[in-house]
Amino acid sequence: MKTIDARGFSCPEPLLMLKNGLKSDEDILLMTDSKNATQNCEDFAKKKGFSVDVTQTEGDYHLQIRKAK
Amino acid sequence: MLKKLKLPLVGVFLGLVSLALVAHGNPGNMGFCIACFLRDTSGALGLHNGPSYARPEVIGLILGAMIVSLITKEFSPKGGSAPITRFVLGACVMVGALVFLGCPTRMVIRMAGGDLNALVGLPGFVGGILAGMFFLNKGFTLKRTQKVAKTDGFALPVIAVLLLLGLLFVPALLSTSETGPGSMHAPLWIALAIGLVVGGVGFISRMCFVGGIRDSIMFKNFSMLSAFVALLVVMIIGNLIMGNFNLGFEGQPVAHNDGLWNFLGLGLVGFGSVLLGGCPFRQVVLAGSGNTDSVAAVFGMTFGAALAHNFSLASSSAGVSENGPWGFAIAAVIAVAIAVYNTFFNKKGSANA
Repeated sequence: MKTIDARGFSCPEPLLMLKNGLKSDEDILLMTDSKNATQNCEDFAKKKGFSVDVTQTEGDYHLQIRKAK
Repeated sequence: MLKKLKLPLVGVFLGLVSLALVAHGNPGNMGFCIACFLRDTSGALGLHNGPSYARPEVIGLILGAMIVSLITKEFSPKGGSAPITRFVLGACVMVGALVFLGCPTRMVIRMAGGDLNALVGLPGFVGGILAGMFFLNKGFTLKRTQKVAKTDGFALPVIAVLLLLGLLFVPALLSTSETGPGSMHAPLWIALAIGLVVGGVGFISRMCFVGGIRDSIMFKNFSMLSAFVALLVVMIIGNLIMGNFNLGFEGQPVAHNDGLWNFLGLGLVGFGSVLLGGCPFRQVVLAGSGNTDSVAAVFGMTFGAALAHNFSLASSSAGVSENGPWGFAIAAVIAVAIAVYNTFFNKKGSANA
């Protein structure tokens, strides 16, 4: 699994990082501290046909992004 | 369904309050122009002798965003992502806005009033956004933000409260224009109430004029753009009903008809705003919710307004000023230099490193 640490970045940077990350076939763990970026990244990944699980830990959001089976 | 309608409804709301503000005394086609509000407030503080009035709308916007972000527990003092660079970019954006005579919000509002000069500015605005996106795609970054002291997050709202107290109890301390755009304003309580609500709505909806166009092109996400279109449609209808729709280039309120400079001015606004991560409206809303990087951008815009008026860079209804093109050129070169450096020579610790 590839980890993308987008904490401290605000949109569109996390979204751009995810867009670049999705080019490979690997599952992705994206970490962000922005609710806005979480929503944008979740919407974008789902639109691209990926499944997304979001968990929240100490102010950070972890998005597990997998290829939908 | 409701989620899909949220942003168009925000656009409708912004259109209605803009119409209300003009009906209650704000200058024609000003509506909810952030560049105008910050310019007037900069003058009220004595930073320049141009249009001056401590706009209650901007005070409300900051406090409304703060209140709602506190309620939703999203008020989080953050900063440290190149604040001085953001200050400078904010100043560049304001120079561009005052060459055009308005921010992206006013561009839409002017278009809705039939002002075709704003329509000439639109391709410039989109061009500036595209140029900024080129750098973003190549790795432009102002680096990560960090948590900062709570006092940093509350500094701007406290300044807003002090400005409000000044307006209410010692108005003589603040400069207020006796003629021109600074002298035309809606009653304080109406402007403040509208500002508060728009600040809250702006925070929840994350409305951003630059983001609308940027995300449509970059991510094929058109939801933000729908707010833009809704605002335009509501205001065209409102202006037609109120008899304020005047299609043409000539005689438009607080506007000039120099096409080249309308195009270039908004181009710089679009370019600088993409690098900042949001339009002037979004910067003020974020600044109210504890984002000190946006506070730096707002201070930069306020400073930029002072530069624009003290050095006669700002346009007027008569046209572009003699110094305007020079000021624009300097601001544009600075903004491009910031983009080039933070894209190609400043990779360590960036999003792409």
